[in-house]
Amino acid sequence: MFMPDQRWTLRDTVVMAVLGVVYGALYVGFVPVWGLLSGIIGPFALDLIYGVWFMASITAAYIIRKPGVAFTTEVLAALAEMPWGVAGAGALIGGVMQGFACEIPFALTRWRRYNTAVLIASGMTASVFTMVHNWFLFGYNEFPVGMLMAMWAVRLLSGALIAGIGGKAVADGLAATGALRSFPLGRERVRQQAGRA
Amino acid sequence: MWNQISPAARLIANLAAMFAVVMVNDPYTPTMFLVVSIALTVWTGVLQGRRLVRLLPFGFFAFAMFWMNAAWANVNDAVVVATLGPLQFTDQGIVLGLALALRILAVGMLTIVFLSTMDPTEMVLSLVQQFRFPPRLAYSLMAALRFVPTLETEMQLIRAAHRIRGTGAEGRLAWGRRLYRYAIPLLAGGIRRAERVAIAMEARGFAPQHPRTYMRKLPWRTSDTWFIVASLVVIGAIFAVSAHMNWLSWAWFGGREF
Repeated sequence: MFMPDQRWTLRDTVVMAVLGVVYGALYVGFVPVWGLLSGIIGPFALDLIYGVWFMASITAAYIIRKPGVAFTTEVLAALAEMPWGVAGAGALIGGVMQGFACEIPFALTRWRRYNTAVLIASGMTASVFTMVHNWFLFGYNEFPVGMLMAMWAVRLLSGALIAGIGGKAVADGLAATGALRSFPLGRERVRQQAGRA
Repeated sequence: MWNQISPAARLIANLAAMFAVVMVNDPYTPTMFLVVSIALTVWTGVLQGRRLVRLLPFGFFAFAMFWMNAAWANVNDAVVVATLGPLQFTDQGIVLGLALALRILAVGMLTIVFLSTMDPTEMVLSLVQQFRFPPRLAYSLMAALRFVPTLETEMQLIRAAHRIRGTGAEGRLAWGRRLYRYAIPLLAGGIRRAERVAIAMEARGFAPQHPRTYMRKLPWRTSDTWFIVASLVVIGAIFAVSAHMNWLSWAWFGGREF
């Protein structure tokens, strides 16, 4: 099977950084949303919208399709968040864990498959890992098990829909603009259109 | 004061304080962390309304954690002390909820104290020079961070373009579709610029395999070491006071005593 070069080019890393910075701004923007929603529906608010915070990984991996892209983009997003002053060391640890989790499903396909199912699996893996992170950081251990399970279910759904489907939708929208022509996703689109014509 | 301490040292101190505050589940210890960090913001002149607004989301979340723990926390031999509709607040639940709420506020406040005056460029340079963060990623990030002001200008352009065409999202999830409609051209512009920047960097001889020299050096200074030592001493002192007053309760080693 034809295997494209898996090393990152400088173009890859700058695009990862741009995605990280733009998503970092979105992540910071969603902190007050989380706060306000928490005031209304309690800690469930976080689980409901948590998928937003995994989107950078999934969009970047789906576009660039190389090992380590999901992990690194999430870490870059966490770093880009820091100068805004709402995200500190806690968010950095969170970003490292989210990125690591998002990378796992891609790694399991040996970075060969980037279909919707793998992207959804990536978002859901992050939902699993972040629960461990929040367990320690926010003291979820004191909640009754039934409630934790409900929170986890909501978060898994959020990871699948917002991060998996949403992160893919952003990348597909970008591909439609033609800006990704030099990336695997953009090339795939060009091939598909050529096939149709 | 903050300008003299490298971002790496601040991050380490932030990390240490955060780990410390997560280790306990009594309300007193996080309160002390909160008081000390507020005192530190006042003392160093970081305290501004604009910065304190950032604590609001943590405040809401803390409040939610408080009442939900007060009503539903796993506690033994709890006594119901108050009811509100279907909610029954227990004495132990309230203490626990208070402890977790204060923990979240302390985590938020510690972030504001240590990181709110951090310069993005210095942060990236510090990561490379102190933590051996890969230069290729670091300079990519620095280039991308330089886009932020342009992104704001572009946002206004996109808004104007949308207005001229009369596009507006209505109905369910309108805000989500509006966000998407802004995000796509913003990101597309960013990616196009990223490609040009990458070519420009390579044209100027940026290559990760060459040995690096730095125009701006951010060496690790003795003041950084002292800053971390001082932070650890303060953390230790808070724990010592808490233990001495018999307030301290460990969160993870079965040490809860109510």
